[in-house]
Amino acid sequence: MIREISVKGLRSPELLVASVLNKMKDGLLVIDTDGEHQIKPIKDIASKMNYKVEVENNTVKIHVGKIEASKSINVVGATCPGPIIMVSDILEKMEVGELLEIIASKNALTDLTEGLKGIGHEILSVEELEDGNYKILVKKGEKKEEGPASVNIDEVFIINTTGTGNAERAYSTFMMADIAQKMKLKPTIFLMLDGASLAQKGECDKVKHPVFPKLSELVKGVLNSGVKIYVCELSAEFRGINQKNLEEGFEIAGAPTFFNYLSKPNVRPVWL
Amino acid sequence: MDIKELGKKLEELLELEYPAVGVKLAKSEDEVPKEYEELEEPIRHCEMIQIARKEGKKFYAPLDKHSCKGGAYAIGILQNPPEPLATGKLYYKLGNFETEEGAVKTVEAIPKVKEKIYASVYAPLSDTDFDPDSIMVISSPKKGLRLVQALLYKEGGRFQADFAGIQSLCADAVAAVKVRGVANATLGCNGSRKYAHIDDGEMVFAFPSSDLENIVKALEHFKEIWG
Repeated sequence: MIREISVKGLRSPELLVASVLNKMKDGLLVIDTDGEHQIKPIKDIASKMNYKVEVENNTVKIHVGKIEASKSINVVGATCPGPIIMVSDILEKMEVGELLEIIASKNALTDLTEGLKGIGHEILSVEELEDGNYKILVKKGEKKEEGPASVNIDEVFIINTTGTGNAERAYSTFMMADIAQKMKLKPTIFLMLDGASLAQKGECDKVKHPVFPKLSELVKGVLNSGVKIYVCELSAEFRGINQKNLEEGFEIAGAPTFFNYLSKPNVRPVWL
Repeated sequence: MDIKELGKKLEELLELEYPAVGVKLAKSEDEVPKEYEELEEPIRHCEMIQIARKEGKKFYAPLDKHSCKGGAYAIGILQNPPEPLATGKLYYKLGNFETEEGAVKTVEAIPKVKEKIYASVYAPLSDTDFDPDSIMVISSPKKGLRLVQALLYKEGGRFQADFAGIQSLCADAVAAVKVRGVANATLGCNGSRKYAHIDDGEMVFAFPSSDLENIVKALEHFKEIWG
């Protein structure tokens, strides 16, 4: 069972949350809050009751017990865009609000979570399994319909397609990410086609312009500041890059992640 | 003990003038008890509660029988409300709030049933033929006090009610109880006081059917010790 409640406007949200938790035997409690001043007492009460708590923006998720999905699918072994297509086919036949359990390998994790969120579904939980694969629980949502309202651009999606073959563009990719952060814009980097060459372990260490630091130092800097660097799964595979020789901190993703970013109204793409 | 018997006990133990009312939100026609008739003319959800309570009628109301869009929206029957209602700006225009921001903030926080509901179903609890999503007791604060004591008797804790003076018998007393699975209380709203004639001396308590048996047991205990 999934119970979704709002505690917005309540002075003692933990009282309501405790009452609701007392009556739940299993499932997930999803709580929409006003922010940190409500999240802290909720986390405290849930921890006191020995429940696992996750916080994402202003939403608190409390894992009370097992959640039964109405359908399940295993996409381990499938490569981009296979997993999202297989999962979308199943979701298409399900009712809004129904739960789907997905077993996926690490390669498909970002595509599935980002891609499914992008088309209006809700990711309820992601759990790493003992065999290194992941169990993703998704709640089918309504299709997203964007209204005509104006949106503030607060993210940039920096796409590099040239990689180590064009050092200037490679430097620009990571410098722009740094500048964007200083301008309060959230950057995300996506390496595709020849750009994927930057993702091979040690490659950025070989790039050094006489007046600039090593490219690998810029990469470290943006990774340390929390910037996500995705590498196109097919472009990586094309160049023999896999989890074993992938640069630390880089994540393999695919077309669903790429299109999800491009379709966000608050994101501007930068092609390099 | 079945729900009708528990409903009768509740009525007797609280010495209610009118019965408690059971409300179910049916997701499809199949979930409406067969012998229940559709309401003939559109009225407000809060008025429907009073018909079940004061006239003892059992019936259901799909979207076209709900004349209050705010009520129908709160309980999931109306899915695409007019913009001023969905955003809360309506309540600014009605004079409930000093600013539009205050109205929007309030409406954002109002409990709401998100899933699509086909019809709301009503019956006096002592004659109900379904498992209610919310059981509503409209009574004096003194009887409400006993009800809250009964709610807390088994496991203790504190009773917390939240309401905003708008969308009361719909959002506070049905949506909040169904969505959260716990009891709530409300002082009503302009609509329920004016059109559904909730008396000045009355307030509204609502709880899920899973609380009913414990409430009745606690009220029996209180009757024994306090008379």
